[in-house]
Amino acid sequence: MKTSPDLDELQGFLSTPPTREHPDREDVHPQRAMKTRPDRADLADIQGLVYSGWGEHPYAAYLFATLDPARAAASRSWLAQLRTLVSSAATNSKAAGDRVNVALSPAGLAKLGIPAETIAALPQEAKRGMASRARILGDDPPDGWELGRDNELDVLVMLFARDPDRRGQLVAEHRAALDAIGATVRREELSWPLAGKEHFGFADGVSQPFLAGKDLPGATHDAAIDAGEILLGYRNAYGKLPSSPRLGDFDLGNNGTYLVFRKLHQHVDRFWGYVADRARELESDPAAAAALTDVLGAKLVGRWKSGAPLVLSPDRDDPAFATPERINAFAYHDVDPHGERCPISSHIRRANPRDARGNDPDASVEVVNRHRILRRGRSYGRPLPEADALAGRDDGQPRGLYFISLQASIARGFEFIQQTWLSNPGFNGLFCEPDAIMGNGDGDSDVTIPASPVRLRLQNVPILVTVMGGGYFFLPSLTALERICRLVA
Amino acid sequence: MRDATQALTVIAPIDPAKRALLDERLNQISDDIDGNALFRPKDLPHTHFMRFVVIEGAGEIPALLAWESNHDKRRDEYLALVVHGSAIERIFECCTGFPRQLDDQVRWLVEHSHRAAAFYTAYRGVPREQVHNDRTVHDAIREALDTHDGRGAFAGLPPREIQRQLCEHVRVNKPALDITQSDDQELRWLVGKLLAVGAALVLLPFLLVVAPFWYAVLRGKEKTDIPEPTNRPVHDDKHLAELEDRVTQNQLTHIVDIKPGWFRHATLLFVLTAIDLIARVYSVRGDLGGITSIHFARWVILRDRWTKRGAKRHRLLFFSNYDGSWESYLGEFIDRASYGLTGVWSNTVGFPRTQGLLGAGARDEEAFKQWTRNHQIPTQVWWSGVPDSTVQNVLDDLWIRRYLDGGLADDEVSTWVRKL
Repeated sequence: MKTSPDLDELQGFLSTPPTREHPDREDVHPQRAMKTRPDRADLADIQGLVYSGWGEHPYAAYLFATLDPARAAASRSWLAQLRTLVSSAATNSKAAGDRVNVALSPAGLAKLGIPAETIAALPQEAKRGMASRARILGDDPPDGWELGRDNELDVLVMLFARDPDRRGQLVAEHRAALDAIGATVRREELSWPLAGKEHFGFADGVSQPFLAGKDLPGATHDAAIDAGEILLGYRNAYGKLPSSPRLGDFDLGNNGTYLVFRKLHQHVDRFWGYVADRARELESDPAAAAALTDVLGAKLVGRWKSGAPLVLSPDRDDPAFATPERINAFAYHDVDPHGERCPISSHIRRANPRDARGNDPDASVEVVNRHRILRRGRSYGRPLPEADALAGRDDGQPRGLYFISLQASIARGFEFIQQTWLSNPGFNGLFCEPDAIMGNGDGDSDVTIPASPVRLRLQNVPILVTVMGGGYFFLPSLTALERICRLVA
Repeated sequence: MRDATQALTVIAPIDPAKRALLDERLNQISDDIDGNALFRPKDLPHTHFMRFVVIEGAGEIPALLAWESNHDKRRDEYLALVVHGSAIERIFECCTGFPRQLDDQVRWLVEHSHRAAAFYTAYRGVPREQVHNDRTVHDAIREALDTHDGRGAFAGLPPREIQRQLCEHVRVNKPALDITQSDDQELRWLVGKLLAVGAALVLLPFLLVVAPFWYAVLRGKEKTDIPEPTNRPVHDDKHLAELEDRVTQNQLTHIVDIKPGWFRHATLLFVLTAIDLIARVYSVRGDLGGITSIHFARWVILRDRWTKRGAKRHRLLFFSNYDGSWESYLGEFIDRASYGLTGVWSNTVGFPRTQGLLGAGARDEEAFKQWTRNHQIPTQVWWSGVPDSTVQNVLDDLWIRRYLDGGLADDEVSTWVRKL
């Protein structure tokens, strides 16, 4: 489990030394110098979720509420109160106390009294809401969504506690505060305590459900990404300042970011049931079939259950490759260009193709680094016992992942990855193969596993993940929260 | 083969009295592109991709209907086949002056066709039948490999033997398929390259003389041209995305005024001619300046023949049939081909500020994407003849069929087996 490194290390992560000059790049906001990295003052201004998944706080709760448009002043008082509790990135993750972060949708901002011209400068996808982006994301029509179906989620209060009792208290307090301003609490989503792995059984960094964090030491394939890819107010990978909503002269976006929340139900029974069936078809010997089951599962994901990457450990789950130094210390182009270790259609190779988009590895990294997101997800629901999973038996209980990502552009971050890499059946030369795990296939998609003498194609892979809802939010800086609270109608 | 992959663009004024009818018909076709009772693009012979687009009127310029077709055969022969073999008159009868007699219709379509100033295709010279044939060959091989027995049967065999057995399998089970190697066009590209270099050498002295004056004027204009403002993340105000992301492939139709005056017009023509030349002899297999996702694309200069008084509004029309999402396509533009695109579109109105024709411009990510959205128009009817295939898939299919019956060295055979 990753804990928060010290501030200097953090600043180093979200900064890129200027490696070369871009004479053709101009500042789009010449009135301001272009910052490349947050300083200490900025860290105290940035919400802590940007830098930490709050791994010392295993119990998370996500409260979603709709504000009362007639009570903007009361809502601002509530937000002012909440703001005093919000944890910044300067908070030591090990320090005592709870952690609180808050995100607001464009509709929520409007109900707090943010003027229309400021709302107009927010990203269009956030204003229209996740439910309206079904075509882009490959989602089924959101009729059955548990949350976000009508873009009704104005406020997301994220609460992190060290034990379940404290979480219960926090939820009760924050629900009461929301009730008091006439807000409607739509959902109360409680995480499963952090266990280091997600429900399919694969190692799970706090921030990265299927793919361990790129900000871990040892990552060789990519440079640190530009701060402006995650945070507004900083130079991004194009050498530009991302456009940012303003309140008069005040830059409302500065030190803020956009947050994507998605509730994903994981069909653990289908994942292991399908894989075990295929293995039994291919291997008549039970022991060999059991071993092949693990191999096929790893091929779908791109890692072994321990987190060891297939590129480094192609034949067996070797935990020696699951250490923080080695778990991300790999690339594809030189070692595994054809996917014989890690299939091109495996989940982690699609979600982050590293140096394997096209023939030029450096160009690939440069392009891929324009589509990176920070992940802050957590699991929910009780794990399914392994024997049930392998037998394809479901217990009917809800379980899955609260996917949370942070990025300066939802369209170029989360949506791009979902649409262009995961859902795209023609990704990287593949033919009719959406991502088996998150590609929103129809339950009849294929996965090609390069092998000798000829490739193995897994056919009719069932739907492994069902989207239960979600939303797009703005995660403001503490200064921006304060400025919103000072609005006068 | 020489006649394969041609660009046809027919543009004609819509009869104002029939505009509502046209809209209704285009809707009806689009709602059920393969099954509607009116006009089914799949009935068109020798066609790879096609679209109908309404270009709304502006000032004295009437609303226009544009038909983009990427087809095989010579234009006149193709149009004769289309007119006699499809119901395309149901569309064009909504245009001004469309004749009743079939032969007159062919002549009318020829008269209203516009030459593309630049035309690119990822598989130049490959007829539609070949694309389909090779896809079916590859499908047959996939099927053979998918059966468990098939996999077991190959255990321990060298790649060349696997290839031989697969070839035999296709020959026996799909005798109707063509598995010959008869599509070598290397000589054609070589002759083209030599001619291109020759032409460039002849023109070079002239260009060297003109270049300094041209550059001085250009830099002056770049300082005073007005880019469209961008102060918010990219907005798709025309809901164009609702027509996108339907399948593996997507379409883009874009039309924008060329900057007034002969200077920009001449510069644009020069750049487009250069791109056209490159696309004809160099970029013939799936890679145009680093962009690998375009099946067919073209630029057409639409000259204003209608404006009587005041400045004429000449426009640059762009059609693209590409793989993947709009975001990824625009991203490729910016990441891989910003110079070429800036060289073209910096001569049109509102483009992000440039430096020395090719610099900056499209590298301003948000501004370039917003400018593209601003001038993009909805495509009412769009059809692809190979809807599941990416450019890479088509080229892989060609290669796999071409060498199915031998012709590769041992290490290449391993690669061949790996590609299946």
